[in-house]
Amino acid sequence: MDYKYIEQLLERYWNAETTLEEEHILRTFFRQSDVPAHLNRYAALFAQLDAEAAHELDSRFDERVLRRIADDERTVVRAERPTLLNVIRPLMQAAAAVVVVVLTAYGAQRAFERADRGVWDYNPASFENSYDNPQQAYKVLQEGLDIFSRTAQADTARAAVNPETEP
Amino acid sequence: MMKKALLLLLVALTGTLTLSAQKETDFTSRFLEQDHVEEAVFCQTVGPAMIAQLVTAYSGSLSPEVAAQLKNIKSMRVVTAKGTLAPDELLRIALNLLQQDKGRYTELAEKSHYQLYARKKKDTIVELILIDTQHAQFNMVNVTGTLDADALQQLISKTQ
Repeated sequence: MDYKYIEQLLERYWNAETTLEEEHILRTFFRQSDVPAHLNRYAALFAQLDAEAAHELDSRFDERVLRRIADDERTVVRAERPTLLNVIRPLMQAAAAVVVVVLTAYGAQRAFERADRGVWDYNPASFENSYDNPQQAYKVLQEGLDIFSRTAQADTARAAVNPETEP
Repeated sequence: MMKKALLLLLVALTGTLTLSAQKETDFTSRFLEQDHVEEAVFCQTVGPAMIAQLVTAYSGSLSPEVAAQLKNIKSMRVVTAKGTLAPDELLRIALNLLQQDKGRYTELAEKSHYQLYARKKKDTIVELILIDTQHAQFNMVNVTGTLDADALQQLISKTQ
């Protein structure tokens, strides 16, 4: 008997080129009892394919699946209750950040203060000079010192004239 | 995490710079902020930079007394009345302001013709305010610096 057609179908089957009809022919061929010896080694494969195709879902399969779906839908999803630690964690992080900022600022401020030359704590930029000319500025200084001097002299004179009322 | 740390550091540095920029202002600055005062007085200011320049560049030509005073002085403002507000009114405003800042300024002397107030830090006078009301006038000298007792004595005694 010539099995060339079967061998060609097998070749196409291995190359995944067969149609459903051709695969049916192959399964029918290997189902018979007198498969030639050189093709017998493939008989087990097609027998296995036949066996798998014979598997069927039992009559209660649909019922079981539908019941499981219904059970899942009935399942109550409960919100996870946060613990106290979880609630205050952001607050603690914010507080820690504030502490870091305050301590850094305080430390830097103290460092600036130590670096300051003395107790004079005025902002130099708040004293805008009235004159750019040093000679005019010097006249202002003289005028200011004169007022101190005049006041002191007047004080001394008044004390000399009336020591009781001007101590 | 690194970004957060850098952000925190930036905030801290900004805060520090802001704090360090908030320094004291002298009495005259506040006095001039009072109603109608700025228009009623003539204020002449010699700031720290100008005084430093005078001390270094003109040290040879300054009188020894003035040179000695300038060592302790950082700024001086001389305020004189223009005449639009009565001297008594200006004096009242100034004294009122000094009373409001009682914790800040200490009265050193109060006489019929002048008032002397100081702001102290520990034993050092950092600001001195002399209000001269002689001859029905209003003259105010506001000095800042670091004045100890000797420097104050020199300042209020005869300087020329």
